[in-house]
Amino acid sequence: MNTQFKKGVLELCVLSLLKQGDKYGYELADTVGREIDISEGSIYPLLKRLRAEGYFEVYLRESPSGPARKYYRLTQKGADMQAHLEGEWKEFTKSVSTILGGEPQ
Amino acid sequence: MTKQEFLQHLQAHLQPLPAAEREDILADFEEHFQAGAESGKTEEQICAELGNPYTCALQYLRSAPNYAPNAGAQAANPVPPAGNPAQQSRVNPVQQAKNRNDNRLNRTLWGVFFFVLVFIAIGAYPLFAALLLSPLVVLVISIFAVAAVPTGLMVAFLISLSVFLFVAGLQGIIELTWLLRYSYRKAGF
Repeated sequence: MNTQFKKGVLELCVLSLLKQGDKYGYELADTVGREIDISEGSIYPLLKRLRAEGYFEVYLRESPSGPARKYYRLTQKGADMQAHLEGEWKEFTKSVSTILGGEPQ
Repeated sequence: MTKQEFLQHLQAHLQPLPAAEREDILADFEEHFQAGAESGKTEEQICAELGNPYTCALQYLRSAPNYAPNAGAQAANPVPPAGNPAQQSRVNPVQQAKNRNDNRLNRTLWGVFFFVLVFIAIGAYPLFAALLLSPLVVLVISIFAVAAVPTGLMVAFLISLSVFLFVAGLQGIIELTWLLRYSYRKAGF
């Protein structure tokens, strides 16, 4: 699949995962990486950027083993963005499906 | 690639960023390796999933507020050379600082150019507008001219003169407007 395309969708994926609940970096990278064939390393620059834009905030929580982990929590702004992107995604896939399933050539 | 190598490469490529930010980024990846190890993955596996540290670093640099595109172009080749990670840092901080200075100078020059253009435009726009409207004057003159010398040549001359004046005015307005917009954007007010 086209890399640029995947990158755009990545933002929606991360926001949607955080909508289900707070997660730490590895959880996000691992979950997305398992479903989509993308370098997990590119999740972290994305997380940093989205955080800087105020879509989520971070806090530290002790892990059962090892040092504290950085958790990400969706803000209201992030939730709004998620809803917006999800709407756009649904609209987009619907349009593509219509074209794919359209009149035979 | 081992964890140590990955982090070293990443750090080397992140040199242009402030130290605190760099530490923050490296801590994220330390945590990733830690969590990956806890879920039973080897360092090799985790590195393979993370991908190229160079590509990763580039994404951070691109979203940095004072990212100089020149430094990125300099480091546009996504395949890092093998060897000492210190040598791999192709985004040279000195070079980047220089680029930033050049950028500022450039923007100042464009700004000066823009203001000069504004003054020129104050005089030039009415002139161009007059040029645009001048075919009307030619039309009035042509009534008399054709009456005095009623030849096809005279008619052709007057028509081409009108077209020339109109196009000159139009072109002047379009080009001046374009220049104004371009220098305004370049100056980044």
